[in-house]
Amino acid sequence: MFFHNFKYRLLQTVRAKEIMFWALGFTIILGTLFYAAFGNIYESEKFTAIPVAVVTEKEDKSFDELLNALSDGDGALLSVQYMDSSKAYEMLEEGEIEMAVIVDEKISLRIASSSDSVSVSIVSSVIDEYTSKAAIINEIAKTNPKDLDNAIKALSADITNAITEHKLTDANMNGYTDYFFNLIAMGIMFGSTFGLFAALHSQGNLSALGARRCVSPTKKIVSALADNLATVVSVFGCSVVTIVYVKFVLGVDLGNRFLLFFPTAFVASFMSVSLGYAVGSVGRLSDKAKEGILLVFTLFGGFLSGLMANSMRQLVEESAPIVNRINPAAVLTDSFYALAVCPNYDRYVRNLTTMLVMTAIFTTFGIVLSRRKKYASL
Amino acid sequence: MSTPVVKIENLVKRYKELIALDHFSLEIEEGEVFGLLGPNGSGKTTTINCLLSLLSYDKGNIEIFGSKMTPNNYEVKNNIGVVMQNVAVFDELTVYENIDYFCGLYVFDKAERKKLVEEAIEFVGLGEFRKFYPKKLSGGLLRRLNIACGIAHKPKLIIFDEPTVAVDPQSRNKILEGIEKLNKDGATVIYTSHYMEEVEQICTRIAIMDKGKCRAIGTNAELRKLIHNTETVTVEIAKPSDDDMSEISNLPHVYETEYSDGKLVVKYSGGKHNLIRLMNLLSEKQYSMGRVFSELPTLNDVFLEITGTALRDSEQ
Repeated sequence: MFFHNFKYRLLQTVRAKEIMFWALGFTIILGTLFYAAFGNIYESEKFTAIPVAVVTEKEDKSFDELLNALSDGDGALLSVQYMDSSKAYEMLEEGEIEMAVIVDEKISLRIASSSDSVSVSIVSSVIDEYTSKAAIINEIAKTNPKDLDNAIKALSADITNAITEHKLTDANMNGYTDYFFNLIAMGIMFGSTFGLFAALHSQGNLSALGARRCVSPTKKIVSALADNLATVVSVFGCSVVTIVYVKFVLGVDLGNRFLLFFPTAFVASFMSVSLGYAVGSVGRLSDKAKEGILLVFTLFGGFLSGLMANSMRQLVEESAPIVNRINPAAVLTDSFYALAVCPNYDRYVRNLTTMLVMTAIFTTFGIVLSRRKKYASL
Repeated sequence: MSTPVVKIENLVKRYKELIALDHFSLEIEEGEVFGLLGPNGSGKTTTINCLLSLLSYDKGNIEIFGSKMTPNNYEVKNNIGVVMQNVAVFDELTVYENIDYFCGLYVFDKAERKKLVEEAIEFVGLGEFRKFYPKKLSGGLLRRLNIACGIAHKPKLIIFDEPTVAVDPQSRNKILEGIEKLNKDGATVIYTSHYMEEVEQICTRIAIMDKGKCRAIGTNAELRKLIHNTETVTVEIAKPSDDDMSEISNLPHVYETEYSDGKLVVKYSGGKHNLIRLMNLLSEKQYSMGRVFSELPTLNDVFLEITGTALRDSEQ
């Protein structure tokens, strides 16, 4: 009996085009639009190796080794091209390169008018660092030649390590990713409509379908459990598709712990469905009115959690933090954020616990309101 | 005497100040097609909902198959089929899936259920629509699907709550034929409607409801005997003189005469050969007659005489 109800509720929710659009289609479309809108900004914020032309007028093996070290590997700081001076000046003139390092008696830097100031200051600091360290080594060679080897080793290591990226965590710190956390959360919260219809279809005083099911010999608790579990599976399925789409199709960096997004989405699906079931069980408002309430709740919750402006959650946190603690969309978004950004699990566990508590409250509310088997009026 | 399939005793249901059922009692025997006839708001659907334990009531007792009806009486529920007034099917499931789903709430065995679903589809004539979604069905076909969902599990008691509302005549006839067949196959049927013709056509016993009360109960013939009128003769004729009208009123068994719009209406209570006697009198008086009708009393006449309101009038 349970599986019979489960199977048909699952079929029914999967085929409910209107709700599926909001829970999945709309999320995918909005995610794609986000990607189109933020894609360029996102790309521009990624660090790429600085293209540098090197003109060797006088050989300097040590400097060549330094350049090789700084242009080696995936996280290379520089992208070095060796060429003669005329070619380098021509390319500088035409804006094909931003700067050229001239290695002569002295090491100097020529820059194009359009060069990026950050890149110039990075390359300048590399040259300055090398020049000053080379001067120290020359001085040691003259004054204390027996310590020269040790000095070269120490100073060489110091140079290559002088400019390194130091992350607070292994996390993705890109601010635009927050929109995608909000988006996934919104899709799951839209799933509450599935819970709403599960409630409407289970109660004799809310729909003809509910009445027909109530007069059958199936125990109400069995059909309610089957309905809710099937809707949770549907909502979770939608969220899995959304997460996979965002991560693998759009290529958004969700952090190193993105696999934990799935159990989080599963718990959130329970929360969302139980919220819908509770709203569906309230009073005698029309179906459309209840749907409207849920839609407004979901969208407004999404707005407060930063779906429309990613600074909103921070603003709410500063002025009314309690709202972030009780807004399901904000709690869910913050769970994803915590997984992607925070070095430990404290914040994530706090959010997960909040979601479980909310699920328990909504479920209790729904059960209390829907437990009647006989109604005063239909 | 066998236990009645349905026994309602002294049922009272109030909605604040409104009394929807006023000490309503009823017994339905096995094998009957029992009609609940009454205008909208007379308490038919309220009675059905109380019977199904969907609606709480203030006073009274309901037994089905000799067992007190409660929401948890699953054994009794297992033997009841309901065809609701409003179509109650899932838009997202096909015809076959809908019937299978509702049948599955009663029948667990898959093989048996498959057989029952096929029989139900055959019964309501939806064979070629089995893969259709409800939104693709016409109003009449949708009503048939609604019926199939209610009867697929072959219940012993089937309740039809106004199943022909907004249905075309062809589908209506199909539905009524189906109900008669279900009854012949052994099901006891409760049929509520405000269409007198349907109730007269299929019901073996009828209760006339008005304002929450059972005003009369019996077979079609028994109900007709409850009222004064046995025959109404209508003659298209020029207005008779007052003396002639008086003479007509004095004919045997006449209890009411009326002339309006070129028609003489004479009502009789009992007697035989009433029409011939009237024709002879009018011929003797050399009246030129148009069309002549002789009508036996209808349920509407019964309803009119019992409640003081015509059934169709009171619906408005």
